[in-house]
Amino acid sequence: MTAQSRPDGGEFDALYERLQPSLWRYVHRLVGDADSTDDVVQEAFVRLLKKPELQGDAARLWLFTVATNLVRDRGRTTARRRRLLTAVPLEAPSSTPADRRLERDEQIEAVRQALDQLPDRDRQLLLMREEGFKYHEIADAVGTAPGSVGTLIARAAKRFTEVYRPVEG
Amino acid sequence: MSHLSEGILQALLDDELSPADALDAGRHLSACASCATRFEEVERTSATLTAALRRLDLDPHATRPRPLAAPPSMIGRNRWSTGPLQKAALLLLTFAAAASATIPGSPVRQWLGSRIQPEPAPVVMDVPDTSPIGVIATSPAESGVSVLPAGGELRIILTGASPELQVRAVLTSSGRGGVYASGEATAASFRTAQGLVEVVGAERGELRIEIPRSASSASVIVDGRTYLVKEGDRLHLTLPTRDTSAAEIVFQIQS
Repeated sequence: MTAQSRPDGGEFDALYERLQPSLWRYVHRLVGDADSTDDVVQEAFVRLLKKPELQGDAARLWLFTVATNLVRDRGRTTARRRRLLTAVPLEAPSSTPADRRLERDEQIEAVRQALDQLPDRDRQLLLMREEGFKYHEIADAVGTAPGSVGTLIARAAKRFTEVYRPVEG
Repeated sequence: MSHLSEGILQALLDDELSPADALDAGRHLSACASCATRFEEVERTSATLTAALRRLDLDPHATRPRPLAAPPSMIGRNRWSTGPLQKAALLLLTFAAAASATIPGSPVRQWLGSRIQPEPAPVVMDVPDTSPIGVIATSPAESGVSVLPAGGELRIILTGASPELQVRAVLTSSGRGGVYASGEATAASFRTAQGLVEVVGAERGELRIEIPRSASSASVIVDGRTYLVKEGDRLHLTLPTRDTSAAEIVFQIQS
């Protein structure tokens, strides 16, 4: 495939359908609110339109890397937005009883607080691993040697559990 | 005897070691109580992390209604197979659409936004059938993983299953074993290693477990209890209250 032969709409749609759920979940776990996630995921896919040479796993890794950078660029705005959302929680669009909603919100906030205490690279390592990336892909994304990814993940996961205070449900 | 590093233990858990290195690490673990304990700690840490991150997906703000119908691809199917002028026009439109999508409130942005919906399905990866481990989505409503037996042995471990979960185990002519979730069971986490599938948090819905007829041995273990084993060409349910042997068995988790 050449640089001029960007996959046709069907192929791009298939790529989108395949990658979007995972990318959305990854970004949402990073930023914590759906609107910012929508924006980041959308922008990453729009940028992919301009990268005809990227296919398959390379496109997947590129998308996640771009999305991670977009999240970093938006860091301050997103963090402020999330704090506001936390301070004034929106009504959940469900019939979940109020006490269960409160409990769930507390559980979510506990995870967020723990994640927020980790360095950016640790968050990226852990979340990319959760999305099923292989070590050599994670190494490319964070700029390290594949042989050190296991150690970095182990330490990041340990740091997470040291600061994570789960809310009993 | 030098102990295994935390990186090696993590890589072993994540199936990132070569088969030879994994074998060496496994041998070491079976002979070294200290490393075995540290490996269990790595497993616990990983399980805690996975369970915690899944809580983030329960955020109600992450749940949006799906679009009623997807519009035709804005990217333009077969746009490269048209004449030069059409190509130029389509190219211009495509990039205009891309640019438009970056403008808040634009129709293209709204359309893209309407297509960007979260789904609870696990990661979907394309893997060759010769891969020892595959993570696949069999349909929009079903997801799961498949593995090759290791040395003819396959183990399926369910952790945190509840009595509301229904399990259907079948023998298959495929060489791969697998676990496929549907309904609310798609929210479960899957972990794989050679000859092993672990499913964590399948509380409701249905799991379909496929066990290769070619496997020399196979077992389904639920929260430490062996529910089912493969004996020859049949599956044998070993629950205390039921004693069934068949090529396909449906059971529910006992409380």
